[in-house]
Amino acid sequence: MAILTTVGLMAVPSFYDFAVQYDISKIFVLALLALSMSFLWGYVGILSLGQTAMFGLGGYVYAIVAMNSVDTATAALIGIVCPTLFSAVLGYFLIWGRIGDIYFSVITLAVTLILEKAIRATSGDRFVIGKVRLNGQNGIPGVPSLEIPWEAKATLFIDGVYYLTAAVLILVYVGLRLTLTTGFGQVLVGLRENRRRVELLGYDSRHYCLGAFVLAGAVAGLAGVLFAVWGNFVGPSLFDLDRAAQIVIWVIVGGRMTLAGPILGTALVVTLTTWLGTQGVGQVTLALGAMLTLFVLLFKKGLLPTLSELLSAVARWAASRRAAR
Amino acid sequence: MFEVVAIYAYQILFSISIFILISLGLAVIFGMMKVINLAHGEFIMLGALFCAQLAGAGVPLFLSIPLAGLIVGLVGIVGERLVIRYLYGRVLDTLLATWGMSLLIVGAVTTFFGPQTASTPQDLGNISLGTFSISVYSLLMILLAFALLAALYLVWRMTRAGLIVRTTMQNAAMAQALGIDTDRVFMLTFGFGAALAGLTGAILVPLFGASPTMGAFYIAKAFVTVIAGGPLPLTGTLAASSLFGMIDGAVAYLTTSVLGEISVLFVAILLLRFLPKGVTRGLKGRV
Amino acid sequence: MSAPILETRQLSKTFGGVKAIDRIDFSLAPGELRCLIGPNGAGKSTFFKMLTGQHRPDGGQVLLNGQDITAAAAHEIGRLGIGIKNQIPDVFDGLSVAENLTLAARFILPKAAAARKVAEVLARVQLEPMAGRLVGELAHGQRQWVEIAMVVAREPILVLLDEPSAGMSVEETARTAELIREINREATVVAVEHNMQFIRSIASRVTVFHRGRILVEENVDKALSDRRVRDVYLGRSAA
Ligand SMILES: Nc1ncnc2c1ncn2[C@@H]1O[C@H](COP(=O)(O)OP(=O)(O)OP(=O)(O)O)[C@@H](O)[C@H]1O
Ligand SMILES: [Mg+2]
Repeated sequence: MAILTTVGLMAVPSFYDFAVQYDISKIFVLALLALSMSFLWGYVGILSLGQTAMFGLGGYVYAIVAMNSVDTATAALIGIVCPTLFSAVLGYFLIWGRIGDIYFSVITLAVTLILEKAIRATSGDRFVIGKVRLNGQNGIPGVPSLEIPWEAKATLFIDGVYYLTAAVLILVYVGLRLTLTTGFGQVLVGLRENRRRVELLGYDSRHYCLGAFVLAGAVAGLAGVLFAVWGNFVGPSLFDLDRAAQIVIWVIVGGRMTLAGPILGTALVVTLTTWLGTQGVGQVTLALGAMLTLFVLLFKKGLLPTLSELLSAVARWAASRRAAR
Repeated sequence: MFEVVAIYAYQILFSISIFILISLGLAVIFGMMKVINLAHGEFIMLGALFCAQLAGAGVPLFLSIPLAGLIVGLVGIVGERLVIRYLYGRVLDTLLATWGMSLLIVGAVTTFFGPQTASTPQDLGNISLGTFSISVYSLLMILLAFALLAALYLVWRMTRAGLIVRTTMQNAAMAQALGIDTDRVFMLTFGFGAALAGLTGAILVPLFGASPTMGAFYIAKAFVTVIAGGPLPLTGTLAASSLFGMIDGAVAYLTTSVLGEISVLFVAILLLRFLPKGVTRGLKGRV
Repeated sequence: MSAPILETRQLSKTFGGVKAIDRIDFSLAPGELRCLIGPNGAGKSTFFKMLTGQHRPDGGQVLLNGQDITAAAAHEIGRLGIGIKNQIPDVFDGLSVAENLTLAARFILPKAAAARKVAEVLARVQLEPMAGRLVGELAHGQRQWVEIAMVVAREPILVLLDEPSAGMSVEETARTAELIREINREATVVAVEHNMQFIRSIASRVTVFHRGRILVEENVDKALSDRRVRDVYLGRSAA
């Protein structure tokens, strides 16, 4: 199944044009962001609404370093390291004092909102890092794509970005799955199930929460770097409330208790919002709001798990009918 | 010299009163009812918007402001009946559902009123302090912020309604056994909190205008204030507002407003590292 | 008598005006198997929760082998070797029985040794056939065993069991009594119980709690025939 999916994804560029590849790569990148949230929320049981902070930081750091004519591979690395460190520091302050889970969610949201405001305020000549103007509201255009190491002066084009993002998504997905099977990962699952019991067994839950938060921060930072590579642009909307809300929606629609669900959720919702976006202003937010509210009220487990439950119920019903005859 | 001190004091008081105003409704809904209301910023926005609309239609400002608050209170009650009431006790779900509501409101307002900023003039004039001038309206706003907080405190501590609400929030089952219609108390308290948020928006509109996305501007500040305030919602809001208002006012005055906000968040996170239950943790008192 | 493994001094806890635990002095010799009894609301569970860092005492001290652990966090106490089965089953419902035990054993042992430990404990509590089942799907009595097994897998020095036989059938109760005696070979045990027969079958010494205070501390037969104990159990007020 997994191998089939991989082969199928890798074959897309031979059948579809650049426009399709471009759209799908975006979904891959955003799915990484969804993974970073669902890993934390679905497995550790903490909801970080600030994954956009790491995402935005990753994008901005990559853009600034790469445009200061450092080679892009180094820039990408720094672009991942910075948000990872940031989440370590932020996580330490929030997790070590044992602040309540819900406060954790709200404060992480506040962090990303304030980062957004800070970035928006960086217009003008005063805000220049090296050769790069931060440009406030307007963001930084012309962010270079990744250089291809084995070809001089060549950078990844749309198909290259497609392969790269697909490969990264698959690797991160597999990596997180494997992490969950380690001793560390098992404790994380235990934390979601029953934090008190984990503590009573002698584990200091804070180490594990922080570890998971930093790992998720790294994944979100990576997504940010790839987003900058993909769109050749970074702007304050990387951090904003709409995007933060969308990640939650992708994860909820896909169902947070699995890692594959959120990827599908992202694909579904992004496709829908992109389509809605072509229909007029305002409606996208409206639709997202309606989706979020309805899902919380009606499909607690997420659309895909609910659908699969429904399907198996129908299958059981059909089987019993057949047995009766 | 006197002028500089006065203007400085004014700046800080102004900033504290903004923190108080934007946190009041949340202190009721989140501090007392434990509903994480992410639509709080949108309630403020609706208050601003309705006030601007009413004033634009010729209603005098001093009438538009309470009217706008009232309408937002009704909006809050509708939201409570349709969504929130199914989610009491499910903290995370209320957070998500109110976030959905917040997006819905922003989307609806953008669709019906457009994305532009509405503004409302006020004609109370300025008083001058040497080379500086201060608007009378903002002085009034400062007074109003403290008056509202004091009034809320009195309502909570002294009136029967306040007692009923506190009983219900502490132990709904017990309150019900005493013959209190807790369902209605929840509904009205939520509406009351929403109305306070709407009132805030209306009070602020002559100073800052109204636009559909302005809610995001306040939500972070409001939550940080109420969370740092801790278990006594009103005392805590006053304490946290004073602290954050001072920091914000001072830093913003000396540098930029964004740096002011960043330092507030920074201080809040530091504070919560060592007082994770907020500044009023362990204090005796009721609100 | 040897130095106590566990001692509390003037331990107190108030919940909004209710004195759940009121200046308790309690002491336990190493290797003992003690039963804690008392009517509903006497403060037994609260006492256990203060010993394990789940509730912070308002006053007094808890000493484990002479070391003050009053302010220690739950995980630190877990590391020092106190294991607890809470009154309400406190397990990982979404994980299998084997995974539950692995989480407990992995903390003290490397992977291979932990696997052996899990197998051994599974055999001891007779849950081998259930090893792969989700704990959430098990019957109430079996979930209690899973929790006891988790405690045992951590190789604790002191085991606290809050109503281990509650909701169990007669055979299950007998099996649990046997299990507790087995645990007692390696660890000191305190069990909260209501079932008098069960108490007689495991313990020699009983501590009776009433309204947050120790009413009687005696050997089983004396304690259970004490008039004051009968009075509080029958609901009459013992002055
Ligand atoms: N978390 C809490 N908040 C408020 N009161 C509590 C809390 N936990 C216990 N109490 C109160 O403390 C007292 C002691 O309760 P505890 O659970 O320790 O009794 P118990 O002896 O274990 O009773 P049972 O036999 O019913 O389990 C009771 O009056 C109870 O209502
Ligand atoms: Mg009990």
